[in-house]
This record gives sequence, structure tokens and C-alpha cells, in this order.
Amino acid sequence: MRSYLFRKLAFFFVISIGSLLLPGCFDIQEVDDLNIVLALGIDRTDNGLVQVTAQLVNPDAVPSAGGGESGSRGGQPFLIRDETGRSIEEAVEKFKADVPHRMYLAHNTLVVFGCDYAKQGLDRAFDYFERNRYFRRNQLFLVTPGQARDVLSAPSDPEPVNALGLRDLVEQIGEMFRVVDSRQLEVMKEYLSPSQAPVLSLVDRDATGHLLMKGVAVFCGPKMADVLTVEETKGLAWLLGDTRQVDIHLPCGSRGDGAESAVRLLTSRTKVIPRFGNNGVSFLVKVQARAEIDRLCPYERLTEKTYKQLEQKTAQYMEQQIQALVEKLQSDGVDACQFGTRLFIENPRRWRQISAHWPAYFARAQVRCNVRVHITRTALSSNTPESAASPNGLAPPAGRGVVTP
Amino acid sequence: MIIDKLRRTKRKDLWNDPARIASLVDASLSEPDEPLPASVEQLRSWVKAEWKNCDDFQLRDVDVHGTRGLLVWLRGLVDLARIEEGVLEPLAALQKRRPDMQQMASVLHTVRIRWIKTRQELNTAMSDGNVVLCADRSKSALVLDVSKPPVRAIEKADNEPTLQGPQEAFVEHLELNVALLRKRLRSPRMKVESMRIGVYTKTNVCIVYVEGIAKPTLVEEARQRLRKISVDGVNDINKLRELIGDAPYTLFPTTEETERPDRVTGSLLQGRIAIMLDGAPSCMMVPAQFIYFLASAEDYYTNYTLTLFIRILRHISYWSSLLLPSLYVSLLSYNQDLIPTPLLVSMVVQHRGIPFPAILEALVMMCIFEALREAGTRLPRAVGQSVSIVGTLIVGDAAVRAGLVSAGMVIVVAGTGVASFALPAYGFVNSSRIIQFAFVVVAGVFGLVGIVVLGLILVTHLVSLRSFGVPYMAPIAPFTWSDMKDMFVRSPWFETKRRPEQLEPVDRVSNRSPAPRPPNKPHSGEGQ
Repeated sequence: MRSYLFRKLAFFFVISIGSLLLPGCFDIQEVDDLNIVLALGIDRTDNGLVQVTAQLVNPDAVPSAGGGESGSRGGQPFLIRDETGRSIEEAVEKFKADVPHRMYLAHNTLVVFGCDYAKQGLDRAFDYFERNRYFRRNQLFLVTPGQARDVLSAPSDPEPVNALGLRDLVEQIGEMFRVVDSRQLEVMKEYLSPSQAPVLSLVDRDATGHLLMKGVAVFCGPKMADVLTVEETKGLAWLLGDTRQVDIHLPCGSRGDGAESAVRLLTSRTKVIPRFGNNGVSFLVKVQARAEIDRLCPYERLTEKTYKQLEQKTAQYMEQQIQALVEKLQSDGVDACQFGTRLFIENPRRWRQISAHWPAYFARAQVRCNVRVHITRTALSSNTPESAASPNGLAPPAGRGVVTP
Repeated sequence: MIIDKLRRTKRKDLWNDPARIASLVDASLSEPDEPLPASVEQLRSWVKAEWKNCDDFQLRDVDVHGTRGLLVWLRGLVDLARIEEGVLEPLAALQKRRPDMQQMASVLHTVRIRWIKTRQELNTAMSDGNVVLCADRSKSALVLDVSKPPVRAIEKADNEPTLQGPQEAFVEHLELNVALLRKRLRSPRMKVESMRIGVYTKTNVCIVYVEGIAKPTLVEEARQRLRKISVDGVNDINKLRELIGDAPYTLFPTTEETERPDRVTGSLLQGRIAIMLDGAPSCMMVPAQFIYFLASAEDYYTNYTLTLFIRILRHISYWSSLLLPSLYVSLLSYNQDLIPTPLLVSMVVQHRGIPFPAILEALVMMCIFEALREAGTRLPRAVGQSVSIVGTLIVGDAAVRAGLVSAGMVIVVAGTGVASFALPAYGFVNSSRIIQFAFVVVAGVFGLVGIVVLGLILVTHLVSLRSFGVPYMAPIAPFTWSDMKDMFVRSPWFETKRRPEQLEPVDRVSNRSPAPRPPNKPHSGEGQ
């Protein structure tokens, strides 16, 4: 009995010593030996090389709630280092040589591509980011019209860390329409879909050097083709799917001296019905939206008629926007509105017949819009204050028995 | 002589016959079952030889109208006034000439008397604090219970305090403890079976159970296990527990201990049995399951709605008292990718400039915490408080300021301590105090993978345990749906109709009262 126990204990002893000495701790990486990479910028240099910019957390300057010793030393809460190489992999490898501590890529939140690099094609970058085991698939892919390095070193007050601020900006716009929320997973999905037209958010610095969300960049395959402003992006979003809380500004006409009324689309739902015709393809875009009034034209009274007018004007505006966008995309030859994918879903066999000539088909595709807007509420007040004011000191219209809708 | 006897006895037989061993090594010089000598003279010489060099041994000759008698007792254990009033005075007042023992017994004023025939019994009776009366011409002696053993007063349950509910606690006197139980279970169905354990101490041990509820084979199992014990003596319930426990090498307690009689009666009524020991201010309850250690007496004395929250909190705190430091270490040393980015940044900031790896930091902090806890328990109360102040100030604040440990680690270790304090069962908490070190070491060597593997081993071990034949994780594995009513939540009493299934009680139904509801018709108010 005793020998059995002894054997058991000896077994556990050997196992524990063995595990400590043989394989244990081989991949230990203490948290203070890490350079946490929050963002990568990828640019093309003039001589055709790739410049990778890494934004690292600067633990000495990160403001912490406790204050204490850290954080008081000042400086920027993030550091910028860059390397140049023939490929992204080579440049990232070079960080080992001249940045102390290990580059820790698992917390990378976004990748910014410079305009030059994006125009040349992102396919090599896609390969790297899809293959590497450290990256999370929810990192954002962004494009900037200038150099990625400049965007990554711009201040992003009040958020101390640039990368997190940048991500915040994109996600705030992304609450309205998901198309700007260009996570790696989404971008790869768009890239691999029949339309082969990924859409990446476009960020830049404004005149004061602060970060700015500028719209989206549309890609034809891996190559950047064109840029859409935020207004144009709304049209793209209505073509692609559901949106939330989108603002629409409408001119007031003759009475308003350039004043605008505004309508907020609470939600919109889109249905695209593709049709294969004899001579090409056509699409019927049906958009249904619910809206509330954000602002009325001056002196305007809210009646059934104005309600109807507003709804019509909004619908018209949206149709125009969509049509303008489709024309722009057709002239660019970029199927960012995923018409090809919709055709494929509708009838894969027919799609395969025409897919080889899809750019030609797309350029000639006919798009009809059918937008219906329903204004459900007026926010907190129904009329404009100046229409309710009475110089004679009369009671408000509702109190005088004037029927208001 | 003893060696000869031992030679003749095979080891296997000895193992199965503890009485035999006891007889071999018994302290008494005489043969155990030799009858008492008939004459007082012989008895006196024998008893004097037997109790030689025992200064507390007392002896008094009495002459009851021609019959010579002998009173023997041990000083300090008996009430002298009661000997005078209950024994000596009635004997002196006895009118009959040359009375025999029967006549003497009938006039005594002592409530409890008992006849004995052997020398062994005489020794035991004296040690229990009785007075033994022997007389000429009688083969048996009379044991008179005039004992007044030193007893502590019944006090509040200090180790298992509750705000509501009964407050009494057991004391070190078995009879009083049994009385505390009987006070709550006024039925002849509550059985108290006692036996003597310990060759020298001859300690009284009781098995208490409720006939008609407790499973008979369970009671028999307890009897068998207790009978096998042959030791010098048992001082405390823990020695008994280690001697009869199911899994001797496990860290988890397979018996439950309490100092609250109300808790014991509660579990007796569930179909468990209690084992009590003279001289121990606590009572052992078997079978014990994992979930009982996470339930407090308070759960049953407060509203069931609160219990829902508290129990879940307790389950969380148990697992966090096991896993919190190890998870922190593994996140800090291996699996940084699992932390949200802002948290990781703040951890890096905290950990900057600390010279030790996270595992070492954790182990040092945990050791210091355990040392503080031990110091706080053992020291007198007044000093204990200053220890805790010094501990929190120096270890907590100064160590962080000096840059020896990170503030996060202090929070984690302190949180682990608080979580373990939130558990009601002390013996159970001690197991997690040890296991958490194993988890930290494994986390420091293998990271999260190690924690998962060790967690699997731990769970496998837990489900392999049994307590008196009942699976340790009983209502969870094997799963019993009906027992879930008193598990993570406590359902209200009117819903709790059955005793726990895993104890296989004879009578399964404990509650036949209907659920409370308003009367069908509102009071009509007729006649007003």
C-alpha cells in the first residue's frame, strides 16, 4: 500500500518537474515585453517599395485613471515607427531589428492603405492579412487619399490613441450604413463575391490636421477605382441594404431664401429585383423608409399636404441620389452596388453565362427606382415657432380651436 | 505475553477484529471480562493496585448496619454534595440490619443507577465520573451517576454566524449536544446509538439518525466504519473524519461539520445521519455533497428570493476563488490576445517596470496573503486587527508604490481572498486555498491550456468522489431534476415537497402542505 502511494507520488513529481523543465514556458511572453501594435499603415514609396508604419502604444504616456507615476511623463500616448521593404512581410520582419520588445499584432485594430498603394492593388496585402495567425478578422481596412503615415500620426482628440479614435469615427458613420464599416471579413467577402468590388472607408486629415471621415473608396477587384463622398455613400447604402438614422436635407424652394428642411430616415429597407432581359439586365430598386421631420422650412405649417409633399420630395431626392450614383459607378466600371452578386443569387446559371462580359453588361444595365417614404412623426414640436407666434398676443392655435393635424 | 498473543493472531484477523486489538493493548492490568470479587477486601486491594499512583482516585469505606461497603470515584468529576445527599445519607437512614445490595439500591436518592459485573466496566464507569458502590456478598456493583463534568455554557455559534434563525451552538459535552438535538426533534424516531472509541480515551461516539427517513444501509455503513476504528484516542471530530472518510487523499471534505444544532436537525430530516463525539463542539454529517458546502444556514432563514441571488453569487465566488489569480496570470503571460485592447493597454501601463514575471508576482502575493490570513486567525483578536491593518497598508499600498507588484495583481489576490471569505464552509474553503496555487503554477507554465486541463482533472476528480456511497456532485452529476429546487436557487418551502433523491430516504416526501393562496371567495361580509 505504501509503495503504491510512493509510486503515485513519484509519478506526479516526475510529471511536474518534467513539465516545468521540458516544454513549459516556451511561449511565455510577459505583458511588459510587448509592443502592442494598434494600427498598421501601408504606403508605396516612390521607388516601388512598401513602407509599413506601425502605431505602438506608449505605456509611459497613456493617460490612466489612477494617474500615478505613469502618464505624467507627457509625450504622445502612441509611437510611430516605420520600415521599408519589398513586401509587407519583409517590412514587418524588419521591426525586429530596430524596435526593442516584440511586435504584438493580435490587437491591431486597423490597417490604413495609402492611395498609391491601393491604386496598385491590395491583393498581396489581402494574402498577408488573411494568412497571418495574429490578426483578428475584425480589423478595419481603410484607405486614405494621401499617405497612411500622416493619418496615423494625426491627433484624434479627445481620444488619446489615434487608432482607437479612427476606429470610433468609422464606427459612428457605420451606425448609419454598414457599408463604411469595412472590417477585414466584410472586405474579403466583397472581394470574393461575384461582383468583386470591395468598398473601403476613406479617412483623411482636415485642414487643421485632425482626422476626418471622408466617404468610401470603391475598388475594382483589388485596385482602387474611385472615391465617393459621404453624400454619395448614402446612395450606395440605399442600394446595398438597410440604413438607420440617415439625414436628408431638402431645399425649401422660393420662400425659404436658401433655407433647408431636413428629414431623418429612421430606417430604410431595400429590395433589389434583378431581371435578365433579352438585351442586357435591368434592376428594380425598391426602397421603403420610415422617417421623422428634423426641421421644417420657415413659416411652414404642418398639414396633411405638407406631409405628403415632404414625403414625395424625400423620395425624389433619394431616387436622384441613387440614379446619380449608379451612373457614376457605371462610368467607373465598378460594381460596388453588388448587382452582379444579386444576379448570381437570382440565377447562378444565367450569371455564369454572362459573367465573362459582366463589365459590359453592367455599363448598360438599366436601373429603375421605386422609393417610398413614410413620415411617421415630427419629433417634439409639429409647427415652426415663428408660424405659431402671434404679434397680437393670441393664444396658441391649438388653444383657439384651430385644428392642427 | 502480549507478544505471544500477537504472534498467534494473524494480521488479517486483527484488522477485522478491533475489539481483539483493544484487548491486547488495553491499559487495564486485569483481564478485561473478569468478574468482580465478591468480598470488599479483595475488591479494595484489586482496585488500589489498578489505580495505583492515581492521586485523584478516591475510596471510602461505609458500613451500612453491618454490611461492609466500598465507594470509589475520581475526584473532580463527581458532585460531592450529591454523594452526601444521594448516597451516604439514605444509607445511614436505612433501618434494616445487614441489608443486601438490592435493598441498598432501593433507598438511594440517585436518579440513575446501573448494575455492573466486570472489572472493566468498573474502570469505565469510574472514568465517566460515576461513583461505584460495592458491598460484601454481592457479585455485582452499583454505578451511581453523580457526575458533574466540567462543561462550558452554551454560546452563540461563532464560526457559523447567521443574522437570523437560531443561534445556539454545540459545546464539548456529548449529552448536552444530544439534548440540543432532542430539543428540536421531539420524537422517539430520532435514534441515538452510542459506542466507545479509543483504547485509552474511551470516548463516547454517537450516531444520530431519524428512523423512517435515513436509509438503513447508510446507518449500517456508518456503524461498520466506526467499529473498525482502533486508536489510542479521538480528541476531535477531525480525527474521526480522517479515519472514516471515503477518499482519504482528496483535498475536498467528504463529510460536513457544523456547530449548529439547527443545521444538524435540518439534515437529519433530509435523511442524512450525524456522528457526534464527546469533547468535540461540532458534529459531523454524512453523506456530504459538494453543494452542501455552498449553502449556508442563513439561506433557509431568509426569504427565498434573496437566496436565489446569494447562492449564485456564492457559486461564482467559489470558482473565482479557485481560478481568478491563475486566469490573470495566464492572460498576462500567454493569452494577451483575449483581453480587450483598452484593458490590455492599462495592464501594460500597470505592469511597466515591475521586475518579476507575472507568475512569480502572483505566487509571492498569494503567499503573503495566506500568511496574513493565518496570522490574523491565530493571533489574539486585539493584535489580529493591527496585523490586518499592517497587511493591507504595507502589502497593498507600499508594495505597489515601490514597484514590486502591480496594482492589478493586488486587486486580483485580494478579490480572491474576498471570494473565499464569501463561502460559508471553512473546511471547504481550505481546499480551494491549496488548489488555487496549483492553478497558478499551471497557468504560469502552460497558460490557459493548462488551466483548462487542470480544470478537467479537477472536475473528473470531483465526480469520481463519493461520500458514504453517495456521489459527491450528486444532484448535478448524476443529474436529478427534482433536487434542483435546493441547488443554485432555493425554491420556497411550499414548493419543496421531497427530500433529496440522492440520499435515498425511506420516506421521500417531506412536505404535504398545500401552497398558500387566498381563499376562493373573498370574505362576503354577511351579517354586518
